[in-house]
Amino acid sequence: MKIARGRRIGQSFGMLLGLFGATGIGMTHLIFPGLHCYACPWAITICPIGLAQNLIVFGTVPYYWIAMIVLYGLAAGRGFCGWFCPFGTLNDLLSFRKVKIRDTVSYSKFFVLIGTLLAAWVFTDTVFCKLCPASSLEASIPYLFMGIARVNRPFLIHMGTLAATLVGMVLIARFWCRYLCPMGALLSLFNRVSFLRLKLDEKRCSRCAACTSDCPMGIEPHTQHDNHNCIKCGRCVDGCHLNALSMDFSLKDSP
Amino acid sequence: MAHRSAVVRNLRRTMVVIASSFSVLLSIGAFAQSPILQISLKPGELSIPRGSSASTSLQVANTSIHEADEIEIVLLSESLTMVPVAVIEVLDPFETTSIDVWLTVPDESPEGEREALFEIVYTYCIGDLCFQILEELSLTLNVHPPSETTVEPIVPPIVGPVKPAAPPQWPAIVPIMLGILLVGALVLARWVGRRWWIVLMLLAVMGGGFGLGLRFGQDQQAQSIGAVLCTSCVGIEEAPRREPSLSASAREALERIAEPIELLFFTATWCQACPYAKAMVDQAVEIQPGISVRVVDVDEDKDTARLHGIVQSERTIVPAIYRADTDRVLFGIEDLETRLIELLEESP
Repeated sequence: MKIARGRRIGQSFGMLLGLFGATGIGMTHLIFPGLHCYACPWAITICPIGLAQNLIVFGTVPYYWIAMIVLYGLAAGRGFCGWFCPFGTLNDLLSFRKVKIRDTVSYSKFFVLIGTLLAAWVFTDTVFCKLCPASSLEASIPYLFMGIARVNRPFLIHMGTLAATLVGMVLIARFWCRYLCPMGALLSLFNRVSFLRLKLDEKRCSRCAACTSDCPMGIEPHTQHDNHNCIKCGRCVDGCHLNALSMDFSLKDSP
Repeated sequence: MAHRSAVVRNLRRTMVVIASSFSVLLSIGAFAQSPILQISLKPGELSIPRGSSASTSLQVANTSIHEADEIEIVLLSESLTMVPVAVIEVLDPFETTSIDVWLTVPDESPEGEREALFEIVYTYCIGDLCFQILEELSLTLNVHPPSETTVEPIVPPIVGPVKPAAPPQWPAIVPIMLGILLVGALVLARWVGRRWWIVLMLLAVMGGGFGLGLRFGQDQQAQSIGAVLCTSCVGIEEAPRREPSLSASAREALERIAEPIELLFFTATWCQACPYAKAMVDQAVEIQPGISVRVVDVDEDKDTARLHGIVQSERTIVPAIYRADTDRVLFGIEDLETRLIELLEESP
């Protein structure tokens, strides 16, 4: 249960960072290592996907953005989805049905990512933000209570995408993270190089697949421990009775 | 069953952590939106001989994704004179500009250190609401006796904004090389797993990215993008360009109104949504002549605007429709028809 506790602290810390603006601190220069809306009234960090779209609209070569993404990717890859991202935490809370992932379908998040960037270029607008369920929850709803947003068509579209995503999350654990999250797609590119990784000791593994039933992403850790969908949450490590799986933060080459 | 209770326990603990962090933060809660222009005077201190003139430069940077309009500088200190400065009509997102401000100290002015106070006025629109921002700026003046050798500077009659030279462009090969290095490293990683040289390639991309990004002030740009409300994220509708048309039910409701009603319509030349709101009010008056409307330009009659709550903490918000006898005000044009009818139907 050690990892579970650490992860809860990590997720609480992610949420705390996401809402730290409530202390009166304004927007900083930091890019959030997850999907957290910068229009959230209490955000002090910039949404990487929102920023990428804006940079495309303004025709900027995004050096700073790339550097930040590489930094996060290299450090933990999708580990941020499992340990830090507030929207990932919401996915976690609704993770009731840990069904097996459809590997080919999981590439859909790359289409979302490419579509997001292309739409920003074609329409010179932040199209993804108009649909993003994270901003529905973190920006639209707070602003409705503040009297700035009103129930109109764009607002209802936001609520629609949020409701659809919530239903998806209830039916399939980590639905958003598995199939739709563009930030997850970005970080997953780094999953095989990141310093934080899931290690498998094949000599100890009995292929009992106990880890599979624990995995919120629906992958099989005992056969795909470096899968691009792995969010490194460590549930499989806690669930493995033979201690064949372990979490590791090292600079060594992978075997 | 044991597994299920563990899940429930886990869920409960997580909920408690989230709820407590939420409540702590919300109780501290404060919400402030940043101004969209960064304004400064360079130099912030001037030494002027009595009866003579000197200039300082007003530096204006738009740090937002919104266009700032009609940026005007006004001298508040009455004992000084300023050469009229041209209004900066438009300052595009992330653009900077500077403008020379010439000040003259009269002959009879006392010597010593004093403050010159300026007011900067500008406007911008987010969605269907437009804001006018007033900011005060001060300059330290050191007035000293005129020396015989002082040469009077040539004062230009009207000073216009000066566009700074564009930042140097980096050769296209640099981003292309960084892109190739990044994609190459990621493809190789997928193929062979982590190797020290792949990590090295990524570290090179990261170093290059941070170096160039900070050199071009992209961290500042990112902060500026984040600091301004993303209307797409919230779901705020942009100002419509079409004419409004009142629905049949609204027309009926208007016809039923028996009492005469006095409205104040607050508008401004820089307000993009005002024509739409004004057209709707005009249609209402056409149907119900008992409604009288007085149009107030907030720039010309700031006192009336202030009196009726249109100017709040030096922010003017238009369009606004004010009903005198109920002391109620409507802002913006979102769902205006319903809100306007509600405003008119309310009994005083």
